[in-house]
Amino acid sequence: MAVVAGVGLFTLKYDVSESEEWLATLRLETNAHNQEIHVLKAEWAYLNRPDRLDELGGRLLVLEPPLATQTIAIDDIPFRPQPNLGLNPGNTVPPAADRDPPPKLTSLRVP
Amino acid sequence: MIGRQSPPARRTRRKPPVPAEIEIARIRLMVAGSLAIAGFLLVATRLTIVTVLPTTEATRTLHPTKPNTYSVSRANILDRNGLLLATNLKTFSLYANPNMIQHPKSTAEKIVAILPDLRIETVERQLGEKRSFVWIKRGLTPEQKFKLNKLGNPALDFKTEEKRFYPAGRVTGHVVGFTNIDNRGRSGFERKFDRELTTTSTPYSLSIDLRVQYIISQALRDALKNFKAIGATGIVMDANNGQVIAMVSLPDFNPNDLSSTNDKTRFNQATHGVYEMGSTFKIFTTAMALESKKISIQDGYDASQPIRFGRFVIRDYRAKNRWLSLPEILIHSSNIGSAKMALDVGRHKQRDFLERLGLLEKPTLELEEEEIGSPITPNPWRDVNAMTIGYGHGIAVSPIQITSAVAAVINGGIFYGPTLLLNRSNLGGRRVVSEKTSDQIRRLLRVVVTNGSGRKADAANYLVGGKTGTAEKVEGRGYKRKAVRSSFVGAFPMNKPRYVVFAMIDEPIGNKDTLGYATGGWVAAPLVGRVISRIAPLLGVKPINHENPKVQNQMAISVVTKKLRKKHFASF
Repeated sequence: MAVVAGVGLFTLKYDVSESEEWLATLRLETNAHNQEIHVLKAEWAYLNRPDRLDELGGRLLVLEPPLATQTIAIDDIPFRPQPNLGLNPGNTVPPAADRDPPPKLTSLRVP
Repeated sequence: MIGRQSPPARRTRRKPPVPAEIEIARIRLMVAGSLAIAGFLLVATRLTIVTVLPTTEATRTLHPTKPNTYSVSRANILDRNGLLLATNLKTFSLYANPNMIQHPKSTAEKIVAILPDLRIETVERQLGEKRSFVWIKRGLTPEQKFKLNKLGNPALDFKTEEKRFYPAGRVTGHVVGFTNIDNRGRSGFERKFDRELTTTSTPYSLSIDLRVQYIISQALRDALKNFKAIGATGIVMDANNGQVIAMVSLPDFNPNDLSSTNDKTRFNQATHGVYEMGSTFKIFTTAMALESKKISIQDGYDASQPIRFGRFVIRDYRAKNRWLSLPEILIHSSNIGSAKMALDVGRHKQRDFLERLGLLEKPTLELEEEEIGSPITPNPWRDVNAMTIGYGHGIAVSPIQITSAVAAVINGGIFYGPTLLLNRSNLGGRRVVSEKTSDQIRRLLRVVVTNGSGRKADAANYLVGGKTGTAEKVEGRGYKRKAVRSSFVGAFPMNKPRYVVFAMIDEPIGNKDTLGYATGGWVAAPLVGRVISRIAPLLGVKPINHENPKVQNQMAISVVTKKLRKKHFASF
């Protein structure tokens, strides 16, 4: 019995220390990876700093900052006229009384 | 067996007599065996105790160590959208043991070849010293470290250190601040929250929006260049909770390169500087007058003659020389009208009112006391002070104060102290003016932009309202006529204000584009207009159709142009 217990104990002990070693290696690796991620995040933030993006966007893209005059509210878009089915001659969707008149589009640039 | 006789039959029945030696051996065996058994039993018992029974002093429980997060000694700082504003990076610092160096000159040459910003003479002198430790350079990149390692000089070694890094650089310089080489906060948020940042590892989120911060800093930088100004500052604030969305002060510095800082660049004009604001103060005079109910929006004052008060003369810039109604006083920015208005309400009420707007004491903000300026107020507060303060002279406040005060009078009348934190715990506001007064001020500020001095701030479809200010700079005991601070404080959209934008240019010089003018309306107002049209889409403000009858109704105001004769309406 003593022999069995002893052997069992030693096996267990070696198992545990082996697992511990493995865990330590994993932790070291995780740590190293986390550190790399940390550095990469800092680099990402650095590369995405607004002055650089502004400069690159101005040089490489044909887009410009949007102007309010180039947008239209969804409510201001009129519905498509309903097809005339002959039931109500000449009936299309009347403009809702409370609907806002659409804003004037002063310029609509398409790059 | 010698000398003993025993018959074989008996021999089988009886044990043969045991010789003494064997007896002794047996006993020894027994003793040894039982000792061994006892030993094994001891081990078995111990084993049982250790393994089967619950915790004893001998058992060791493995505590799972905390999940591995890469921890640094100082927490990150983020903007309101989670963009990184400040973080710690591991860097390497090179040191040498001069005692181990045989040829300081050639070693110095090799080092300088890798680190070109060092001077060869300095390094040589350092390496020639009779010491066993000398710093060569701190904060090396991994690449530089690799190259230095390749030199294979055993006298050179590295120490791993942490260095604070600011990805946005000078754009967030004044707000975030910077740390010294030992990673202690030395200015801005870094300094105020030095202890908190070093004790927790959870990042701090500021109310700053990096994109807005960049846009306004860029606009101010352009203005600085175009108008050959000596300084500029700008603030964007959430009108409904006091959160600072952007705060810029120029000239600025690069927090990653501390050699670029000096007292002048570090000075945060937005919070530290206190200035006579000039006409933007007329907003408060008007709000105070409307709130006191002594004066209605139809009333006005005679502004045909300059006011003489002892040795003071209060004049109008581009005087209209006639009676002006209250909206006209704002539209034409009449000093005379504002001074009379302030006097009508009275100096005591004026002081109380400005105090409630937080203009008479240091604002509370997440910056160190030293970086927040105290307002300069008159003592005693005489009638003449009341009049000059009515149009923004004789009192000096910081840009952050005026921004939060304007936010209070237009947002429905609730004052919120300015804050740099995204999640401030005590978000309590106090009422300073009534809803009605606030509504009237909104209409008035809108009309200043549509028909008054602030026309150039009118960013299309964002319903901008605001007030210009041009204050002559104090020099000695008098004012410098030519040197001014031009400012504009505006808000948008004026039917339901969400953001307040302030901009101030220090000593602008008019150019061809501004026909030589350097006033708030020519210098600061267009800047604010441009900033608003760029930041509004980013901040999710929908364009507003100002031809919409509902919106027109919200902004309508009747401007009386002649005293007591209401048919001279000009409706805007």
